[in-house]
Amino acid sequence: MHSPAANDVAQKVRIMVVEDVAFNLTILTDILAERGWQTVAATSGEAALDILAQDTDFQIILMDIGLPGIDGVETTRRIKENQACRAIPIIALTAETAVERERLLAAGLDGYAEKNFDPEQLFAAIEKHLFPACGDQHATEPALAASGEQLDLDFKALLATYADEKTLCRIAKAFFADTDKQIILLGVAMDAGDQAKILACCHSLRGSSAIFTAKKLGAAAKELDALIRQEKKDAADSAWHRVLAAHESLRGSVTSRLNLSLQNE
Amino acid sequence: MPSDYSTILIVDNAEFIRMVVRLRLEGAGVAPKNIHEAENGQEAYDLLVAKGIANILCDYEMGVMDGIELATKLLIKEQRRNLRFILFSGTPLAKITAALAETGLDIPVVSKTRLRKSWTQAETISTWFPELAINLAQQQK
Repeated sequence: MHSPAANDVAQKVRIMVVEDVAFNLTILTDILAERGWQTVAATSGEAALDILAQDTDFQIILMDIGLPGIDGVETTRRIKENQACRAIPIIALTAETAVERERLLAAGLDGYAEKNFDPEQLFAAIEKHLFPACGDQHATEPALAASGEQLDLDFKALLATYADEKTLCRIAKAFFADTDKQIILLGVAMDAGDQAKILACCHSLRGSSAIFTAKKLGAAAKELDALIRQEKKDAADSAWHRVLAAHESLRGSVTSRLNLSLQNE
Repeated sequence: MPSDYSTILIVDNAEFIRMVVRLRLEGAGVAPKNIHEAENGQEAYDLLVAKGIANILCDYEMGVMDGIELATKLLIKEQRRNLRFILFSGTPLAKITAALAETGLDIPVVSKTRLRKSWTQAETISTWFPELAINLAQQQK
């Protein structure tokens, strides 16, 4: 789903992950491996500085902020003082507020990614620095923008992960059984203006879409979620229609590709 | 009912997610007959008590008795120390960690992003459910 250029770059990208929690490190490494990026782990700020003293061949550094010993901000300051590695973009991994994020940028970090380990958000934050010439559109929708395609589903990835079409058909039926329910609940919640229920439905749709590689549906649900939180009612109504359209379009793609009947399942 | 370490319970309100988790577990070597499913915390509790299931992979957000409520009931109120309980969620981990801190629960949280890849017995199952992994290894001998 990536452009040839992106695939070429993937072979060369090395990312240092500075994170003290082993569990988080495993998740991050797994996610980055999806893009074919190599990772080098440092479990403290001191360890990161030691590695960089020997090896500065990194295209990105992902930096946890709440590290034991010297924290992520101080580690960043010391990296930026070093001529040999000051040019490496450093992205903060943070669950902090907008104000705190501004403080991180002011302290020398080059960007930030939500510490919720959403692969698409993480890829977007990283690719913004790997492919700066591609601009904001690339940064927000890396996979789609890189390929220039607007595919509903990554069938190749799905088949690779579920091994055969028979299993994939079972998965697809279960996916639509669940998302059909969520779409109905979402419609009722939109009519009632029930913010909590709308957000719960968006959360569910986004989660299922991420696992099913349904990028457009996931992006539409994410957009609706954001607009509801911003209390932009008219824009949210439009976004809700895009969720519906993405869901129906996805059904069409899956029905056609897998020769399945997914209506009234 | 004695604890049965060869069994595992998947708790999630989405059938799609339960199915993907089941496939991942089967891919890692867990026998289909040893994998059980429940749609919510209450159903999970009833099944666990009836069958003595010792391993649970449980969603965080569910309509009827969520993952934290179920874990609190089993691990704090009923002191079921033999249980391996893992929370499984697409919710930001920081939010879950805060919720766990409030209850005093000390259980691992696994991101649903892990569903995007196959699981292995050596790496995944033995990390999350060591007793289940030992059981699987013994069966394979």
